[in-house]
Amino acid sequence: MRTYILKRLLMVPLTLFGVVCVTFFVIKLAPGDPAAMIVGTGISGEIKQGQLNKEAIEQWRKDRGLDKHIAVQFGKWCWDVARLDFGRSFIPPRRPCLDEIIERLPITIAMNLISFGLIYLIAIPAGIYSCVAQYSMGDRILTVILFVFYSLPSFWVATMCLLFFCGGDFLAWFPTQGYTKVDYHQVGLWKWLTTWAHHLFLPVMCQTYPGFAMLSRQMRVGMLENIRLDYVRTARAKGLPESKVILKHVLRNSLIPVITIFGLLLPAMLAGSVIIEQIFGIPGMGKLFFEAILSRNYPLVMAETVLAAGLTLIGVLISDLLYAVVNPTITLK
Amino acid sequence: MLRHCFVFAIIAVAVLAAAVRAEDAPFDPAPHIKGAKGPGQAKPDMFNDRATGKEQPREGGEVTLHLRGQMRILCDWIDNSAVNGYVFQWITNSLAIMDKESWEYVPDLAESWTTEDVVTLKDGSKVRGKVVETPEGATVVTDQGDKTLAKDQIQAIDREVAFTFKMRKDARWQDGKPLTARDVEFSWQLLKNPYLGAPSIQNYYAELNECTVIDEHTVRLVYAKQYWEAFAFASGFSIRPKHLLDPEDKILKEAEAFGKAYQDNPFHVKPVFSGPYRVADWKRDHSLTLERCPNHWEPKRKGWLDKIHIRFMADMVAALQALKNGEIDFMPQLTPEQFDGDATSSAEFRQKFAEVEFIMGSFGYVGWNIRKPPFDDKKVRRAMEHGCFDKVKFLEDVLNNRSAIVTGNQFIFGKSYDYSILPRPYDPKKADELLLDAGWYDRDGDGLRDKDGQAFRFEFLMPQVDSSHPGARRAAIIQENLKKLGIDMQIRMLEWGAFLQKIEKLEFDACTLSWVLGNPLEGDPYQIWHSSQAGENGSNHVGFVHEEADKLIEDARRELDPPKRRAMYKRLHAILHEEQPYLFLYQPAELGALHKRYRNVKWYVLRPGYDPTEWYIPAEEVGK
Repeated sequence: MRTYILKRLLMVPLTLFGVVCVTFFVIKLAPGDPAAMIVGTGISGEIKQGQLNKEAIEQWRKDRGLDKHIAVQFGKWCWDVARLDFGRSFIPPRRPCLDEIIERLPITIAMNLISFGLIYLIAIPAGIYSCVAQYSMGDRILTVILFVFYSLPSFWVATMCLLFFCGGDFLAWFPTQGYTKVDYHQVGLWKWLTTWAHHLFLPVMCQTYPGFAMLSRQMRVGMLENIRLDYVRTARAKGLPESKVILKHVLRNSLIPVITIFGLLLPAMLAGSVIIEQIFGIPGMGKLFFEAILSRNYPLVMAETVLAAGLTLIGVLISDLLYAVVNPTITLK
Repeated sequence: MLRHCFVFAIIAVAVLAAAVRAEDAPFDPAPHIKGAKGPGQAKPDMFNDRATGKEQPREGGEVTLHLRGQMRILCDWIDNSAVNGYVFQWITNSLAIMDKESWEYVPDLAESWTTEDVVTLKDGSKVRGKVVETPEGATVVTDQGDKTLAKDQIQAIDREVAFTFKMRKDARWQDGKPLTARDVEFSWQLLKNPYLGAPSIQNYYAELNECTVIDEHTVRLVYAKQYWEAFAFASGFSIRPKHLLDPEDKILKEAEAFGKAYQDNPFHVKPVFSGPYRVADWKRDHSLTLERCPNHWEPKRKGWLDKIHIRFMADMVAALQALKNGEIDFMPQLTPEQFDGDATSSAEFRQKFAEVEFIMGSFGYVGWNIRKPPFDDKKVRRAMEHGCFDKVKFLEDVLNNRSAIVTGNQFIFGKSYDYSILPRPYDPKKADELLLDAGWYDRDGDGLRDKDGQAFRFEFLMPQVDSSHPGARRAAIIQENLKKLGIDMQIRMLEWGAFLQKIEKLEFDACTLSWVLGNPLEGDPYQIWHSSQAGENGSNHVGFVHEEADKLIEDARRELDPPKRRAMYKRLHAILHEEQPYLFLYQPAELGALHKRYRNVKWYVLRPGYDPTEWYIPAEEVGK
């Protein structure tokens, strides 16, 4: 076990380095010039007279070390990251990348926690039900509903939610944009919580509904595999009530695939949904990453990549270790 | 029928215009667009049918505006985005400002100013004063009496380059401290600090190279050479508080450290300036709230609304929904589709919101890379003008008549635009003749014109838009029309960053873009049209090199008499119309929707086109 963990731990930096190398060169070689962004802020096809000029663009490049050879840039970047310095964003005011990320993290983590919580809370019972009542009418209806959810594109659902639940010609139940009101300050925990909940209800729902299908299917298959096994028959034979058979024996043994998915949660926690954040105007990680790519904000793209890759590796490692914890018959060598 | 009427109307009006082209004759080249087009034309509440004109202004209330972009730092130099440009008009002051109504420079922090000339002598020294040229040389009226200079002493005379501003003594920072000439000097020093990290703004001010404090309330700024925009640069930068940003006088002593640390100064989270509104709350990527400063030192600009909120939203569908949902009161950038479509046509919407139309200088164009065939030939470019697409039909069918066709580089409603130059009509026959004349015809029978063994094939580069966007529809129409003319045009859409890189590196055959115009009266064409700007990264990306145009542009920079200068710009307009380096397209109208509860709402040509610090909610509209 110990050698296994050690080996895996050694692999982490190597894999990370590989990921980082590829990302660095791919983004640098992609067409587009970050200095071009000096011409303005928009992606609107308009340039302000007086903004596009040689001297300014060259100065801009020099300030950001873009005039140096790509290998030199990579070397410098690696050296900085090794000292945990992720550099500064390219876009004025050039805040440190870590500050930008840390600023966006709470909202993304909060949304993801709720979203994943809901997915597990709903998908696992749904999976259990589908297994117990296999091929019943209920199972079939549930399956159809879940797959309809799974197939509906979230940008469409989000836009429809905006049109139908956010005022205008239909129901005015929710605000359309953001995570709080403008110019809104702390007015007690309860008020603060309800404001957030009110604002985040639709985005969280839109982020959650496509997730039900996979997990509940995963759960159903796992349960069905187990329910046919001998130990279940034994449990039933010794007169255990059905609920105990299902919840205590079958469920526990069907959790392994769920744990696999759990391992991927860690990186997913930090990755916001670009589409949902864009439509509902939520300044989260997805939007940050998307905007960074559009503006060729290399340091920020790289910082996020390192973070995401690192967390994925750690997540995978943890889920591997959890297998052994849940099921002692699995040995790690 | 309607279309023909429209064409006829345009021609009739234009002919009329050509006949009465006096300098100040009011003329409207695009009567189908509403809104102010010239000085003195902004009328209050012109789109609001609930306004009676009898309401009394009162303090109180709030407004929430929507803006698409957002600022990254509350400093209009480090982040010179449009949003900062707008907000800084409401929270800061400069020595003088261009008045939104009259389009003339009026005092702001300055009370008055005097203008002087500078004579550079051959020994390198400079003499400042009023210069009177004499047959023997020049007499300079200076502070220390008259100075007579012989002709052979004089290197150059730069007129109207030194500006001495007498500042108001009652101006105050929002923290109550007095605003003095020291603050102006500090702001200028900061603007000149090479470590500030604002190259695109600083490049503008490169030649504003002298700032002297004469006394606590008098300051002199000197521009390096004679230039008609010198005053705009000398008076136009926003003033920052020295007592908060540099209390220990470090800006010159430790220039590098100061410049580099400036952006991290906590001042920028909640800055203190001198304008009628101050920053109350800033949630990055979310919203900005400005609040009215009570007892502002300039009663004329004091403002009525207690708070102005700005919501940053990128998604236009969501923003319109937020407007309907009461989360925002004003959406200044509706798309023509939203403006004229079902989304804003319900009775309920019309009852609540005024749909507004205003104009800010900008124009779209198709640029031809005239460095290489086929567009190095003027006849081909002229053929494109006749053969690409029917601008009038497109204006009606796709743009819902919410734009004006332009033929030149200046603001169509400004003073340097030549109305006698009419757009050439869509005429494929004429295009065919011109192409034949240029030697382009189908020699090998493959359906494409060719010349010197090369088929007429080119790539049309444009920024990525979705297929319903007017730009995409226009490209498709051009492609179709050119195909009929035996020309193969490939449309290539690129994401904005990649697109710009291609333009900067001059790797394109034809491209489409827009220019935003700053000064509506007239703009300096140097950056876009001078041959010195035709290299990589230059703004003259089409590669327009023309001897007469170069000379006009250079001479016009030094020409201080507006009518003479504008005549030169009109001549440039004619040259561009003749040479066709661009296929000039449209000046669009800005479209928006504003809640009807606000009064004294005026729509201006100067950016951003509106000024919420003037708006108020009358007693009868409270709670509506």
